[in-house]
Amino acid sequence: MLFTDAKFVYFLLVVFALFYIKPLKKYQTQILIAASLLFYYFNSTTFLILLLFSASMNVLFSWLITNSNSFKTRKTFVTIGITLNVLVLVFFKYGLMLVSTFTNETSEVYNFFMIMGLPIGISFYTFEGISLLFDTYKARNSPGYKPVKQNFFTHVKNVFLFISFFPHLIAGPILRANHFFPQIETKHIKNINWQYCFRKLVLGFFLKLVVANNLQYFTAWLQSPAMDNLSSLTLFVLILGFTFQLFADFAGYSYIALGLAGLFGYQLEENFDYPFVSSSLSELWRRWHITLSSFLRYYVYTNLLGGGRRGKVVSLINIFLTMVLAGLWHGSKWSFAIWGSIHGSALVIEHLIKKGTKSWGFTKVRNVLGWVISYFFVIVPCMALFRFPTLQGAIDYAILFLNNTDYKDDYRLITYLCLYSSPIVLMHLLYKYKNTRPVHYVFNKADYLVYGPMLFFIVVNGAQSSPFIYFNF
Amino acid sequence: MIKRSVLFAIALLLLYAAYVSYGNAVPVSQHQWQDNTIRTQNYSYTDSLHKKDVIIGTSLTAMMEPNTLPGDVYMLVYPGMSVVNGIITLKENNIAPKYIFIEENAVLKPVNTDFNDYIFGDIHFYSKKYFPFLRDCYQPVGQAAGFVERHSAARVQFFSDWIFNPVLRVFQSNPKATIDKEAHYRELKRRRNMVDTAALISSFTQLKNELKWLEDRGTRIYFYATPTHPDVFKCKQSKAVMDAFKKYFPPGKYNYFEIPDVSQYTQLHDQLHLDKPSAIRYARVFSKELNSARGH
Repeated sequence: MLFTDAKFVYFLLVVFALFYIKPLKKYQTQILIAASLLFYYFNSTTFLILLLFSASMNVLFSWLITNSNSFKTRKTFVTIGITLNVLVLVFFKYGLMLVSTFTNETSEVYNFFMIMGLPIGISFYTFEGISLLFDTYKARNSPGYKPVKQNFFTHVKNVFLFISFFPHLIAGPILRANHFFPQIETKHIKNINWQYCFRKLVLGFFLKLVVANNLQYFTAWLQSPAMDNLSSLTLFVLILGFTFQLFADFAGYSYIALGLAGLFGYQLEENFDYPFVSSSLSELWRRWHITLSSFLRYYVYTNLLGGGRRGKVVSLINIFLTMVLAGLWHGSKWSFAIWGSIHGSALVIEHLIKKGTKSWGFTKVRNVLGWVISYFFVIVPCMALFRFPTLQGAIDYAILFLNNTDYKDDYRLITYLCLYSSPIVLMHLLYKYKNTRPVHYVFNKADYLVYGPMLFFIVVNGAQSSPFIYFNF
Repeated sequence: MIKRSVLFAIALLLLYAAYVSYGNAVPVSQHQWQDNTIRTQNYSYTDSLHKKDVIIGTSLTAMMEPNTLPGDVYMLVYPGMSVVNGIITLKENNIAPKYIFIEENAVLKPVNTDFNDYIFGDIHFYSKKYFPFLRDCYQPVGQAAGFVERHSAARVQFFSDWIFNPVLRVFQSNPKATIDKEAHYRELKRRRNMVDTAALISSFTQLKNELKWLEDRGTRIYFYATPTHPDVFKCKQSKAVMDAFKKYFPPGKYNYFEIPDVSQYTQLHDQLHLDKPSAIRYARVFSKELNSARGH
């Protein structure tokens, strides 16, 4: 059951009605947990038990950390808890990749992992579990710690809701415990910010149904042998189209998640902040999949690897390692590790160049150059590693792109790719020029001129519902 | 703000409905997937088509142009999907034609339930039935694409010939690197020689169950195989499929067209599908079979 399925609308209406109905108000948390587990059951029947196990494990360890008076015991509990989370992730997500590296396709172990498949949303709820344990541990160790009196049952409810809340369960945004827990309280229908929810939902459905779901039929040409006879320009526009499709698909999901959470009185963190206006790679990672970037920055780069505390060289190595992990987070294939390494190396080079050219001036020229180099030499070419299931596929694409200069351009394909990508370009241009008078007027006085046409296109030009790309991650 | 946005959207919808009804809107298909959707919507919403006999097939059959076949037969063919999708379309419309002709070759292709859910979901089906401007063939982007393409092709060509390609040529190696185009076909050949018995049983059980609905309503069912490359036609998987047809749908109780002489159709555009001249030649043979089956 996807957010874009008609069935989901019925599901949402029932949950919404039960959630705000007066006699059931004191069971709001339980209603959301039950609805979330049901939602997960519809999407991945087999792995519901794994979700329950993961949530229970984090309930137990966070409870033990909170109620332990010895620093040493707390450290032991947080280490065991985080290790268990990582082991679950490695086993279920990376098992097949590791086994296929060391054994052949006919081995029984390989078949076991092949049949098992990937539990939907595991990367998201495992990271949330890690965040919960680490934040609890940090808070418990802080000098000004004030114990919150709550019984075990309330703790179970809160943790289960934090991990399984259905708007973010399958593809994020990745929640931080210290941001979500303070919001758990009785909610009232009169407090819903309808305009906020409407904006997020309309934008989300527009990006997913109109942009991403339509682009997917054209970017399907990016496979062998269909792409073998396409011209270099057509191949370039295709990979550019795939970049926009990926953005529209994931940003669309995130906006819908924000809007849905808003209907239940919860505010989730923004996941995208107009990433295509970034003038450098480091800025891009502050604007694209923000909750993952900030998770990696805080928990992996700063707390696990030590950040920049051990000198400049170690700091650059840490940036590289964090990006390799970010690559692997996206998929259990070595091509994702290569993707992460390229981004990591590019980030390191960018840091060195920025440091060396700090005093040169020409900020505008440098920003434009940074934008061109980041997008056309790193981000867009690296998308081939995202698009193709094998490394060989990406290499074949690169060879065809460089060599098919004598082939005839496919104007029809290029036209459709450009038309369906144009809303993404337009929304970034509007953001870039948000302080000019006409754009400022539209967004402050007449935003129906933006949301009305989006609604129109959802009705008239929406494509068939299809799974979100990030479900695979 | 919400009320104004909704009202503005309704105003745009009304204007667009007027354009589709009274302007010069022509049905446009943007891609192969939409071809399938439009073909199904045409069939579902046009009563006169319900009297026709129906061919149910995949991309192999779709290589034949409809105008090369008898006019009283409708091609409910679905490139990229299963023949079962075609049978579901008939069931959803509650139509049992007098004769149906089902392609045998690609019967193992899995059914795409999302496709039928999209077309026959209550909201989609009825809104598009009663408001034709909402049908997929009238999507605004499809309507605009032709205009945009006509006005931008020259600029794209200029950019491609004078800027993009010359820059790329600087990076070309000498001699040019090449990809192993045959690898794809080798992999396909390897897969075609693998027989997944479980998938075979499941596909045929499903086909038999779906066909029962039509049989109960008196539809006469014919099976046919389209010509493909001899290597494909005689591979282990094809042989297993043909044997399974005889087992699940015994000749005598069910009708079969004569197996085509594949050596007559050697011109194929990708080692699988017939090319245009071959498709025209095969359509003549196929039309004769269609007519004789129906006693014409």
